[in-house]
Amino acid sequence: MFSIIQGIVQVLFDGVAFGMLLFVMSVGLSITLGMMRFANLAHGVFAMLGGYVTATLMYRGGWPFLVTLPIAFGLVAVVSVALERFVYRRVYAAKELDQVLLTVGIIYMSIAAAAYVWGPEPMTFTLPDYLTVYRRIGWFSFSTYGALLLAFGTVITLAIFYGLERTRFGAMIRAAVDDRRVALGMGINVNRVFTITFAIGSGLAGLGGALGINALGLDPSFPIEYLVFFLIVVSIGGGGTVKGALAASLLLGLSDTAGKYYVPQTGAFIIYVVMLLVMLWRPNGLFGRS
Amino acid sequence: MAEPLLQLDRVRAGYGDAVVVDDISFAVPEGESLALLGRNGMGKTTLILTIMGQTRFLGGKMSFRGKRFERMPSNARVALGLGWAPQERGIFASLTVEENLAVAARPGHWNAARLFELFPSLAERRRNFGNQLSGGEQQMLAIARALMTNPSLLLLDEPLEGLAPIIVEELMRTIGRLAAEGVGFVLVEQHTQLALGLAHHAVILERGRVVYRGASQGLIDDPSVLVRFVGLRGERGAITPASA
Repeated sequence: MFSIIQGIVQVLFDGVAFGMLLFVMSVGLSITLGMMRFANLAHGVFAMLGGYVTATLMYRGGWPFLVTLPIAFGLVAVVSVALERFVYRRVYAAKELDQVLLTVGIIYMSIAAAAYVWGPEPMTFTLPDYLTVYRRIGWFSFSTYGALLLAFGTVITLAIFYGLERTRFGAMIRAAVDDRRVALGMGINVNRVFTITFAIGSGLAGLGGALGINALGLDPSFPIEYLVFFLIVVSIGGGGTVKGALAASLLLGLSDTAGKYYVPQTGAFIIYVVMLLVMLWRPNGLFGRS
Repeated sequence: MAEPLLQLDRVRAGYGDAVVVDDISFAVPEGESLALLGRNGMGKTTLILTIMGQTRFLGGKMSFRGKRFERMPSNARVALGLGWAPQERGIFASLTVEENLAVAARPGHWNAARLFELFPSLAERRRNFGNQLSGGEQQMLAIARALMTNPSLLLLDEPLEGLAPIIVEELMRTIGRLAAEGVGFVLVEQHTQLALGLAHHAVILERGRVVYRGASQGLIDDPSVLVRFVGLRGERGAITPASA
């Protein structure tokens, strides 16, 4: 009985931590999809770039892990603005197929570029000592790395909700998601709002990639490998909704962790079953609009 | 002669390859108002959307206080002084009443406090979301939100459509009050008599072209044009200006 409870608590802890990580990485995709109806399948490229920035700064520059995180966020945000201005903006009005072809092309270009710069092998990564230890509270032991993911995820989630629900800029984002045409007609500079949102969302993906480097691994195929996770989050949550992205991320994190913990042989497929069930139940996603 | 507030000169616009309005010319002087009339499907809403930059502009000139704006994006037109209350109201469903007003706010005479005085029922529902409002409340919010941009000219696209008579009366009083305060407007309205009673000038569209352009009083005095192009069954003297 005791070990069952211990197992459940462990799955909850790891699952929520993984879910938070997924949320940080994919929330930007959900918002930009809702606001501009732009399917950026290359969203995982930003997460990969964040991971490589952190790894490079740590190994080649000797920078502390925590110091590299804001740099990963900022650098990825800047790169994403350039990509949005000079490439993506041209295809907002294009058909979905054109957007998909372009962004898939960017994924393969980034894979080739990452393999050229950092090599095709998975990046070996050693966390700082303070993140490799296990702490014990009563009978429950947890990794400090997992606690870090949980803490970052919680703070970022609260900041996102505060920004979206309590600030004028957040209201402008929601207005643009609700009705882009009317938002423009009310004087909202939707392009600027989108650029800033895109930068923050991409920066968060970079931060997630950097934070999750130990849990997710890092190699040039990262954007393809995790694309399915980002797409499942958006599908289950419903595009353009942060609440949906959070709920979907937590559901995905918990079901993936529970699957791998309880049925290791088939655990990796649990997320697809969950997605199928949710799609059958609510075809527009948990918080999607009909 | 003073520069008109809004001037359209041989404007041609539509959607895709379709031309919906053509050869449209009229002017609205500062502080004055215009009723845009015509049967359904004659291009009134398309013309409003064209002024707001939301159709395909195909030719002509549009200027605001002498400044050409036909190539400006919608949001820049708002900064210029055009306020818009769309036909379908366009209330942001996931925003509260207060937030709907806040996102449109620009510095000037109108602010949320003043607008809550003008529309007390909105004040009572300030924390409600856009999709929790009645049709009348949504229409009030659409007008209030347009006023939050502190426009020099309001574009009101069928503000009375589908509303109960008591709400129509309330909104008419409000629009009349705005007119008395010097807020200019272009009013698209199926309630022709009400629109003519409020506006100084009138334009009638027929199949996307102007078939009448002149003083509202001209149509009030001689309703035969209305009978022909708007389908109104009127008699001389049946229409009374609100300001009279």
